[in-house]
Amino acid sequence: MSQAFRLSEGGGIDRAQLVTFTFDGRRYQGYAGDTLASALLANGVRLVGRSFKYHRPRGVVGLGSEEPNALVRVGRGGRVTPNLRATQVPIEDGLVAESQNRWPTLDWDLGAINSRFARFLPAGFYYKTFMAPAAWWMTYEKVIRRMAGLGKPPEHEDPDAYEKRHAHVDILIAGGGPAGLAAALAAARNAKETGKRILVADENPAFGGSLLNGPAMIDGRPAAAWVEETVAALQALPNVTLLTRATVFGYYDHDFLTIAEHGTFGAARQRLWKVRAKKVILATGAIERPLAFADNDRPGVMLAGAVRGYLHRYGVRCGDTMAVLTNNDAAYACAAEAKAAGMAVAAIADLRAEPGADALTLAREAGIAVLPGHAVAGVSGTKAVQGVRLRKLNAAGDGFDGPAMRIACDLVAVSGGWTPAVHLHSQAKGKLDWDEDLAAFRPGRRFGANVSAGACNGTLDLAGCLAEGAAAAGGGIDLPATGSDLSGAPHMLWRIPAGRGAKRFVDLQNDVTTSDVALAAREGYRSVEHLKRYTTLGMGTDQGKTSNHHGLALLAGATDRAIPDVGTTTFRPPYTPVTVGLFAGRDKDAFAHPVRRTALHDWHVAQGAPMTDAGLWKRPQAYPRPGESLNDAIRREVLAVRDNVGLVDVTTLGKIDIQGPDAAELLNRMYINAWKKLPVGKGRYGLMLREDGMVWDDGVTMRLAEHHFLMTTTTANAAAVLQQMEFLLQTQWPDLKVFVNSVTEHWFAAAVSGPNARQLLNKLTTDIDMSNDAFPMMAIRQGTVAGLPARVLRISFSGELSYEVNVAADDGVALWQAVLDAGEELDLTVYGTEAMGVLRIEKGHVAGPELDGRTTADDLGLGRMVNANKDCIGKRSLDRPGLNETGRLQLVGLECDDADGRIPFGARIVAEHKDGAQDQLGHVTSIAQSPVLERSIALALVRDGRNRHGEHVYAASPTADGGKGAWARVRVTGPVFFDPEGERLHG
Amino acid sequence: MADPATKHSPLATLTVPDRLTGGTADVSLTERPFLGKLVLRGGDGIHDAVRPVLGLDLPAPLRSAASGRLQVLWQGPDSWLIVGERETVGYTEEALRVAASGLHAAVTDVSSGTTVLRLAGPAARDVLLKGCGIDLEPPAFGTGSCTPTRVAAFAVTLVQIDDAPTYDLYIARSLARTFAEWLIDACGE
Repeated sequence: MSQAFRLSEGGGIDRAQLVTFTFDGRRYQGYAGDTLASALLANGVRLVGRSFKYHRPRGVVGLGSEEPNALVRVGRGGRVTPNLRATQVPIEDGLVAESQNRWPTLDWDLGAINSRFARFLPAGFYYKTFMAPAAWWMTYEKVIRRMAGLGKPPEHEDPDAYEKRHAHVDILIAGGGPAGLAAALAAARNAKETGKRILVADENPAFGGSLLNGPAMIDGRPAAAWVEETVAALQALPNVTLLTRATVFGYYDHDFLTIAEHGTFGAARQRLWKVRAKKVILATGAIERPLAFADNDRPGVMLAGAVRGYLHRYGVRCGDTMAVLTNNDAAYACAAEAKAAGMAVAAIADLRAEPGADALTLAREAGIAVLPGHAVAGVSGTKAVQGVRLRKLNAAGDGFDGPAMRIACDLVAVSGGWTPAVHLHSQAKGKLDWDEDLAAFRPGRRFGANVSAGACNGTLDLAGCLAEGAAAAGGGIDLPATGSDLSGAPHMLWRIPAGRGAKRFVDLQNDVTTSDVALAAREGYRSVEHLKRYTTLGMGTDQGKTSNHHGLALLAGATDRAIPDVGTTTFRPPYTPVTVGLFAGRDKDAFAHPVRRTALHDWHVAQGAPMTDAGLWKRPQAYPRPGESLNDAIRREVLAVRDNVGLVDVTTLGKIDIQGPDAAELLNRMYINAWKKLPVGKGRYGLMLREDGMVWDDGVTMRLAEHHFLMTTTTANAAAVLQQMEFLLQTQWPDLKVFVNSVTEHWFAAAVSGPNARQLLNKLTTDIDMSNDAFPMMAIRQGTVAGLPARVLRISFSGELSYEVNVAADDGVALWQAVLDAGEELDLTVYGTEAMGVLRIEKGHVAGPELDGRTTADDLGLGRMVNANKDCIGKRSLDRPGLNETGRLQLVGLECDDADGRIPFGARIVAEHKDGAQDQLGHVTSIAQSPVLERSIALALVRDGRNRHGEHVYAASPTADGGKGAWARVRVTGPVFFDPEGERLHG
Repeated sequence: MADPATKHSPLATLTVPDRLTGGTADVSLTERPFLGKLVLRGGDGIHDAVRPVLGLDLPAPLRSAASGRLQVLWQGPDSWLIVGERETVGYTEEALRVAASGLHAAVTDVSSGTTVLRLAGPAARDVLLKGCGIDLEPPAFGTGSCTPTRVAAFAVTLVQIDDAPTYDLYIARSLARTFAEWLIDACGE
């Protein structure tokens, strides 16, 4: 509980607010403002995780999003999030965090045995070992899954809410460090008159970036004061939005960027910003590089800048006694400040023979020993650093001279120079240039409306960052005065000499060592993309933020190429991992897949009808009475339509209003049959093809007036047919004078079907003559039904006398109730989609299962509809030989021989009832239990089906009956089972 | 919501939380049910032909126009939605047919096909921006602006009525219920 490593003062934490949290079940305390990493370090906790492959003990390395090691699982139940960087998790009371990739405990981990067998686990180990036999892969995979990998995913549904926010801004500034803040100041100043919208986002809890990591002075005051004042000034402006804990994680085409913001947004804790920016200023800073020396992964080996950051941001000493390994001057500041804070600094080992003069002066004044030309030859301690061995490098830097010095220490601060965070620049497809002084890639040619400023542009000194940031936003502000910095320009030694067998880690997260890179190069993986996939270098949650440059450089060295010739792997979003829930936001479940409701939806539901999906629509399957099974209800509903009268909601069929002098011509071009001679007030069944000649859609189209038609489409294709016609009119046939408009949503439609349909409607209308002569089959009449303005269509899907009544959807409920009331004395039955399906199958009408995109009009027995005297979409394709050869699947009916038998759903048609292989003759498309025929019937597509009428074949389904399989002996018939002459229809 | 004798709005059974109906709320949500709506499509000559009937000019792209009795929304290069009380729209429909006869034009009644959700108040824009990807701030979009767009998974026609700001959202009848629920949820913050 003691926070023994907390300094008595300093840091941006709130010491008045003590926070209690647990890590691996143990309670710790920190302060509000701490991250999990800073609080653990304050409590002296060094061991925070186990590594990916070798399960080596690991500690915190970095300060922020670059952290490769300290990945934790935070939360409980559905609120658990794995693989969070402890360096970015703010602590709060009751926070529960666990280490990952260890079993049974972090301290005592069985998987660490991998380390003993490390020489058997080289790069590409999995590819080499688990190759054959293929059948064993399932077994390998389970073992690999347990041993390797990062955090466990949550086991429960995520109960959290996520918000989204779209924004259009004039200037988006990614990063609120010195460059970003200077840019914001300049942008705000230059937008004073225009009110241009400025958005500044920083991934940290506070603005300031690197300014918060040290004792820099701006205008003679501590930099933190300048930051505070700047942020306050910006906050006061209505056109400036400031976001903290907001990571700009993606840069997409046309300057579209995404930001993951953490905070409190109503019930949500995360918010996704989708930002379209006119200009983007990238001020994302730079990431410090580790160095590749022996056992550089031990807990207590940290980045020097991070050590500095913990000191100044959180008032935390990362150890008692520190050794420094550096290749640049900047790390000297870390040593001097640590010493000033009361830590012991054993020595600075500098890879360079000649450190910078200012750096040496600083060390001398602080009383810190400097060992130029020295490196770390080894680290002692396994779960925590206990000491280092320092040795003098030889002139070539590829070996050591002289004896080793053993130094006791519990912290090794490492600086290998700084890598500009070019991720967003690169995501935008910008190019990179190699900078020899920085030993790093920096932004080259830009793509998109962006400019990089400050450390992400390779400018490491504070004055430069401020100047570049301001200039990126148009300048015009007085730059504050700053002191001069120690240079971060490194002298790179990509691989520090080490003894045989010692591991020098390049990628800490993926356990990739210098030897793995060398091995990959020897095995011919010369491309950096291949290196990445073969060794996993640069993969994982950190995507190689601290390791990529070492990987490239070592590959370059091993293949005798220059680093820029090796190039980099592709930078892709996200910059840091993003929760999937963030992308979904509230647009999940019903909001992602909205339900379409007819005007009668609530009524259907109130009847207790089971609802089924028809695209996005919900439709009632049937209306079982209390105690009645679904099948019995369907049978009852079918018989009511055949014997009496039924009522069904058919709103979902597509309806398209077609107007203009060329309306009939448009229909001629869309449908295979002819339309110009259709009389006003009459309709006809039409069939539409795709361009490849296959049947696409069907429906009845009515002529309302000389130049006015009402087309109906299937429910499924309503939108697509309208879109296709609009597309053709705009692009192919702009000369046609015709407009098409969807009226599906405007109309409510109910079909009244059965021998007593006319009798029922006669009770409801006075102004439409319902007699057979005045209102024949395939006619449309306008008038009133139940006092409501209506269109009545005499069309039939059931094969019975049938009228479809259309009224404005607002009148749908009123119409339905009026029909129910009038139908009471006739014993009217309401029926659902299942009965409708049985009725249409008995009549052999094709529907979705038959119009499967592989059937031609001829296959469906509708070949005679093709009009020879005109062209239409798809007609030319009908001449293709494949569509005319014998042996095509043709529509037939099937009747089950056994009156008690069932034709299995989705059955295949075969000639014999036997086990083993045999030729498939076709397949069942729709099945029904026909109450009229008192047996199981089906529509099917069967090879040469029209020549097989009368034959007996078998319908077989190996998957029916829960996998037991089912057979039915069936007789092939014509597809129309009931009233083939259509006498009932015209009665 | 509103419920004249026999007509049923698609939101008839929707309950809007009290916090979204109060006059002082940051954002309020109400339905404007049972409006008459016509789609007017037309090519050359349509502007001049319908001006006397509508008493106003057909609005330019991305704009709406209103007279005392009718509102006209631009929907596409040759498409407008004419909105008003049912009765007004009823006789406007006939008058438009007469005025546009002989032109390449079409008039279609779609009154029941959509309903209108009115979202108003200082927070209305923020609510829409949770699901709408277009720039809703002036000068890009202000009072009188109008466009078909998407809010979350829903295709809508969006019109800004005043600077409150007040927005009218035209949503297909079958999706109105789910969309209203989305808006209520989005107003929850």
